[in-house]
Amino acid sequence: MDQAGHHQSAAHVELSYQPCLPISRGKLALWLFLSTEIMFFAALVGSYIVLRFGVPEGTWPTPKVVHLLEWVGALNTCVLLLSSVTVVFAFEASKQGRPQVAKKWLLLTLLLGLGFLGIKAGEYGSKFSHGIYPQRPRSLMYERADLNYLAAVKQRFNELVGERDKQAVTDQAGRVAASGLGREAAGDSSESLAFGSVTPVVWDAESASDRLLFVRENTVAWTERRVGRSRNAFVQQEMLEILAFTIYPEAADWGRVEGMLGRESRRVEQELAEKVSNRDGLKTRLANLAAEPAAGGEGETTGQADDASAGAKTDAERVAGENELAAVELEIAQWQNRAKWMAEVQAAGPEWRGLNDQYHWELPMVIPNGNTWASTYFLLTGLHAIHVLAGLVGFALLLPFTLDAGRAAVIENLALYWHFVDIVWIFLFPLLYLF
Amino acid sequence: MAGHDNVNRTPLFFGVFVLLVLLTLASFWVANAEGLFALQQTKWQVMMGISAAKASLVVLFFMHFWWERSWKYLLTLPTLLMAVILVVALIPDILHRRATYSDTRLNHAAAPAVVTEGNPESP
Repeated sequence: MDQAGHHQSAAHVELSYQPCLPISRGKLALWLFLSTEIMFFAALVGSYIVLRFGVPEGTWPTPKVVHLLEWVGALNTCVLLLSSVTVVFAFEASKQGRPQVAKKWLLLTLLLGLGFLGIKAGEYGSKFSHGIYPQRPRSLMYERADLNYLAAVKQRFNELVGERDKQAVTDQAGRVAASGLGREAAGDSSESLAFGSVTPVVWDAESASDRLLFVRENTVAWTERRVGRSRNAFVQQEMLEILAFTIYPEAADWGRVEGMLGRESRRVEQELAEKVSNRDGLKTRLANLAAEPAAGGEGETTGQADDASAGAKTDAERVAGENELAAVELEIAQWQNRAKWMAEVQAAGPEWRGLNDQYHWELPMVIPNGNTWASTYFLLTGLHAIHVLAGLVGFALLLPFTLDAGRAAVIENLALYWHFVDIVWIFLFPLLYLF
Repeated sequence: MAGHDNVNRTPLFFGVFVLLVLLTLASFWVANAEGLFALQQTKWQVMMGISAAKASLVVLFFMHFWWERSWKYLLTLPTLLMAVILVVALIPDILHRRATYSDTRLNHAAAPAVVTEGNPESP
């Protein structure tokens, strides 16, 4: 190797550098980095556009449906724009050799960036509290009101009732233990309580003190029965959609739901009238059956065998009739409960708040394309927020230094990055909040 | 950092900021105004136009492109062009997206609720 010779000659050669661009290397590197960032966000926004506009007409969730407040997005846009101006002022001040002023502007930029992230965190929190997550099992969103959805609601209600029963048993056992009773007594009482809290089949409409059981009966249990027994696809679909509406009304079209609720109320009224007249008929028949043997007993007593078989036949008829009456009474109780429930929902009308808002039961809810919405929203805003965070770390690292003219180049580079983050949000705001 | 460093640009930057806030309010208004545009698509185009105008203002003044020399084209135009081409190239996917759904995906896909069979009044 001629390394030695190379070293020797290098000492004599004067190398002259020609800058490829009339800017500092730091600024050049930053602009190259921003070029890759442009491609990165172009790919993200492009994918979002495909997912957003590729859905069937009218199925993308509006801001109201997913609890997105447009004015909060607009406010955050202004916060970020303001922080862009303050960082520009910080750069100008440091360039003019006023480090104290530059520091104040930079600190203000940092605070505004934190404010942006704080508002963002508040927005995320309101999504999470409504069960809007990008992923199961936390996400409660279903694409349409179908049997899959019905099964999920049923499972959740059963979990809730199970938790409630368990709580009741432990409460009772705790009370018994505290009152100093023996173990035997405690065991007895909790057992009887558990037995007593099994969902009663017949509902007394007047004393439905337990809301959870009453609501479960009139929403999911009712829907399951009606979907299973009806042969009318229209009615089946309406039952499922009414269920979805009572749980989460925001995603439903009220004009459509109003018609469904009206039809359901009329159906309940008609069926109830039919069943009541049916029951009255049964009652008269049973009363006649009860009267007959008495009337026959006073008459001829010729053939004992004949009499016995006639008596057995009457008994069998009476038992069958009583069973039928019990079944009809049960059905009437169910339909009366449903009528009461429908009246409650209809009274609220478009103001109906939905079970998830009223009780925090975290029931599965129907938001068409809600899952795609959540995936894109959290991905885009999350990646943007990470960029904001990176900028804030940069500001925080720069603040302890004296921000005189010597640091102006660093501030300029950081400011360029910060403006780019601002530009990304300028496009994300209408795409996510206003479209 | 090119340009006239002795000029006080504070009023200019503040003016640009006010303009940006006004444009933000404008897109908010366009999105919520009733009957301003017949088509939703027109609203979207106007809002994207406003966003492009806002981005241009930020790049021109806050990022100093107004005063920079022509290197700015070298570093931004090729990527910008590719970014636009990428988005435009994805547009056919919007039309064909559901063509490649599996049966399971199609069965559970969101759909506008339309029921065509059955009589609503019969039980």
